[in-house]
Amino acid sequence: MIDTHAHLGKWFNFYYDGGDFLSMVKIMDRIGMESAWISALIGIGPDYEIGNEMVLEAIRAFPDRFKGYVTLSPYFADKIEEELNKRFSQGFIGIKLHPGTHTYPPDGANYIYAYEYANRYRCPVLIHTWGERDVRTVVDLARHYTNAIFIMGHSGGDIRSMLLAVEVAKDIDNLYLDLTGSAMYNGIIEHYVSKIGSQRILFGTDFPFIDPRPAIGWVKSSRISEDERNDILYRNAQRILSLISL
Amino acid sequence: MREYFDFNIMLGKPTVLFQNNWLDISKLDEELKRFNIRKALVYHSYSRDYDAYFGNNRLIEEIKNYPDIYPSWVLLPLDIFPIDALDKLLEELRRNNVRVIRLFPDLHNFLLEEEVVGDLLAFMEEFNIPVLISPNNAGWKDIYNILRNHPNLRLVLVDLTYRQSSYIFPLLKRYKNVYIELSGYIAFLGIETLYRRFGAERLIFGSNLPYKTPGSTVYYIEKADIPEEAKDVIAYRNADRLIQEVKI
Repeated sequence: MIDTHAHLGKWFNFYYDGGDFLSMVKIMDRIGMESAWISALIGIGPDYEIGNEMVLEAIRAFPDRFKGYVTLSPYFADKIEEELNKRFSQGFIGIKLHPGTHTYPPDGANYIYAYEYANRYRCPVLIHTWGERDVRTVVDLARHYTNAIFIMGHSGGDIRSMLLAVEVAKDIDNLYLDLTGSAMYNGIIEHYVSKIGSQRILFGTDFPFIDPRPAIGWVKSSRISEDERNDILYRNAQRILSLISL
Repeated sequence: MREYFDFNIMLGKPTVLFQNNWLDISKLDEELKRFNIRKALVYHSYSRDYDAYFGNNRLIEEIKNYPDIYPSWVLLPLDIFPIDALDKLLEELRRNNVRVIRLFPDLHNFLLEEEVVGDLLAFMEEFNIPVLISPNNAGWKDIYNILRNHPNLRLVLVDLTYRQSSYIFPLLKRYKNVYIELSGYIAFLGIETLYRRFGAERLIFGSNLPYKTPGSTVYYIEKADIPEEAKDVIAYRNADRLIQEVKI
């Protein structure tokens, strides 16, 4: 299993045990999760620099278990180029944007450099989406930056947006739908596979923001073939890694 | 394979329906078998989304040939319910073998104040009848309030979220009859944390079918870092004990 939407650290308004990378590796070992692509929760909150440093520490401690997303803040647009160059030289593999926490539109001007960068190096951009408007915006971005790999975080989140996402993502090869979400709607995995096949659906859990095990149980018990399940659980992520030209 | 007792299932068509995702009794039976769920507690969508009394009767009719499926009636304050007195309610619960009730205070527009449900909750307390409430359908202050007034009430909190530990922990610490249904409580290391702090005796398996698959909570329990004995208690025994200890 490869979790393409994971985090690191604590969240500001609710409690859970652990959240540091050692607690994450422990649970990954227990459930047989090979690796997790992480961004730090403080990074999608108030401080992207501390967040990216925390991720660096994790990927250096466990290079086979963690891959890093560079988290960027639209409020420090003048630092984005420098941060991307620095972090990718340190081995990060993708970009994480959270328009929700930053209350900044996904197609806002301060994110443009990040999309151009991803387009140049064919790297993944994981964008948090919540609602139909976000879904449509990410579709437009994927159509415009055709060499970048867009991961639609949560696939829109609520059920109506998730159903829209699979319709509008149908013919966009560089757009992946992310299963991460607390709701884990019964039947949506089967619906997605029936609509777009299994090769553009990514497994993610938000872990340790949320425990990863319920989402794994959801995927493992979905009524799809083993081949399709393996695409979702790890093969699609492996293919994305092989496409990156950094 | 471990046996499960699912404490949180809805039967019937809801008003808001996506992808035809609802359960009639035969589809429910199929799902239960698929996940080795030997017993189940169900309520009816019509009790929630149309009329409690109508839905409750419909539920009894639909499950009559399934002795391992237990009915959970949705109740309203007696002032606005066709069964308008506690002695009549007791008779109806006995006649239909209803051992658990469920309340939807926000959705059904009533307050969890003593003036409104005090008599009903005192009755549930007296007869050890578990009451299911989702904090997403009642305020946390209301839940704290009813436990202050009915400290021995067997209150099962259902459809929780991973963000609610700060509300849950003080209740588990203070009230010995507060139970947590696990389908929505997907906090990181949540089962391990609850087990370490409060033991296994008040954690209950539930799926929230048809909205969620039982596969999620089953996997969470099976992969939890707690003793196998504790998993049996959570998967089946706590729910079964709650049902058996009802004194009607």
